[in-house]
Order: sequence, then structure tokens, then C-alpha cells
Amino acid sequence: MKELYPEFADKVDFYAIGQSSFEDIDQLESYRIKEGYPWPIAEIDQNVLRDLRVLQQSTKITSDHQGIISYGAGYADGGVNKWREVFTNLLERSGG
Amino acid sequence: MLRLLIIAAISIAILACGTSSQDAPTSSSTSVSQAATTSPEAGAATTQPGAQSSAASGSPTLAPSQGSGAADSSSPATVAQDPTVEAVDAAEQASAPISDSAGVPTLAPTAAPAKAAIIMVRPSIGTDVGKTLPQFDFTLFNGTTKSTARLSSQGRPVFLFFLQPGERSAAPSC
Repeated sequence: MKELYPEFADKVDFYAIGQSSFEDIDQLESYRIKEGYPWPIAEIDQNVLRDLRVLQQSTKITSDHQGIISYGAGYADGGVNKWREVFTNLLERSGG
Repeated sequence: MLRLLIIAAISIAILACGTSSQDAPTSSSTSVSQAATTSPEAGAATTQPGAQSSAASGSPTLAPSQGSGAADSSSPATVAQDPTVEAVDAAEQASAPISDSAGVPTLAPTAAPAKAAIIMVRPSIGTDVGKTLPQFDFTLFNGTTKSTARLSSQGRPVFLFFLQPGERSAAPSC
């Protein structure tokens, strides 16, 4: 994903969201810096995670320009080519 | 005496021509007024130049043939049918171009785009592919709160990556 981020960062909003209830936003930010993630990191209410059925680690959700879920993946799903295809399709659907 | 008869014949002929020529505009005007009273939306279509020219162009073909005879009350009714039918068609085909008797298509002034083409059907809210992403908020490290509804309103695709800092290979496999 780090490889694709520069390619799509100006067209797609990337957000990493902490999935665990044991880390606060400061710990999440430290982790982001340590891992070298270029996208912003955020914390979220655990109830929202439950409602979203984000139960598996490294869950990924993409939504298009209208807020409609276009792709969902779990741990280790997809690769560089798959995500490039996902983002390209998203941009084509949004007309950009 | 002969002159008097000629003058009388000429005057009668002039009077006859005068009444027949006055029938044409009268019939066309009544046709327009009838169309306006039967359907208000069609009235706008009949008052446009194309519709009036069709009625006016129809009157020369009908008026002389009937003008030689008695100008009875049935002639305006027959003339009035054409614009009325055209007006009803224009009301039914609100967005479709109206063609007058000359075949030149003219847009009706009341033409408006269909609302069905504007309204978009939005999928129901859910977590599966094809559903609308539920509305929720999340807070960034700098204190900024983002909501999925606001992100969607900006018209940009969104990628959300839920991670656990303690896990190995948290980032997507790429």
C-alpha cells in the first residue's frame, strides 16, 4: 500500500483507523511513525467497529465517490495489482 | 338601369368577399381560444408562432371554398380541431419537440426535464459491497473529526484501513 499511496493520494482519501480498544490515539500515531505509514491515523468508537462488523484484523473497506462500498478485504487480501485495480475502478466510477 | 344592376352585383360580391375573408381570422382566433380553455398547458403551445401559423395556413385552404357558400357555424369547429389536437399532443409530450405544419420542430415553452432522470436511487446502508457505507465519525491524531457522510459529500473515494498496532504485517500486503 505504501507503493500505491503516492499514486492515488491526491484522488483517494486514505485513513488508517485503530482497531484495538487498548491503544489510544497517541499510541496509534507512534505506531504510524514507526511503520512509516504516510496516511493519517485515527481512533474510533468500538461500537462503530462492531456495527461495521470489523472483526478481522487489517480489514480494508473502500467506498466510491457516493459513499457506496465498492470493495472489502480482510487480512492479507489482495496485492499491489489488486489494489491498483480497485483504486483505478473507483476513480473511473467517479469520473476522474 | 344596367349600371345600377352592375353596381349592385359588385357591391353584393364585395360584401360576400368581405364576410368570407373575415371568417378566416375569426375561426383561427376561436380555435386558439378553445385550445386555451380546454387545456391551460396547451395554451402556451398554441400561442407560439408555429401553432398560429398552422392555423393561419389552414384557413386559406378552407376559407375560400367555404367562403363561396354560406359561412355557417360548422366551419370554425372544423378549423379549430387541428390546433386543439396539436395542443393536446404538446401537453402530453411536454418535453418532446413539437413540429408545426411546416415540419420545423419547435420546443414547447413548458418543456422541462423529467424528474426521474434527476433522482438517483441510493443503495441501503450496510457493510457489504454495493451498500451505502454507514455514517460514523473517527478522530485523527491532530484532533480533526472526520465523518463518512462528509467524506462522501466531497465526491472522493475513501480507503479505510483498520489495523491493530500490535499485529504483524498490519499494512495491506502491498
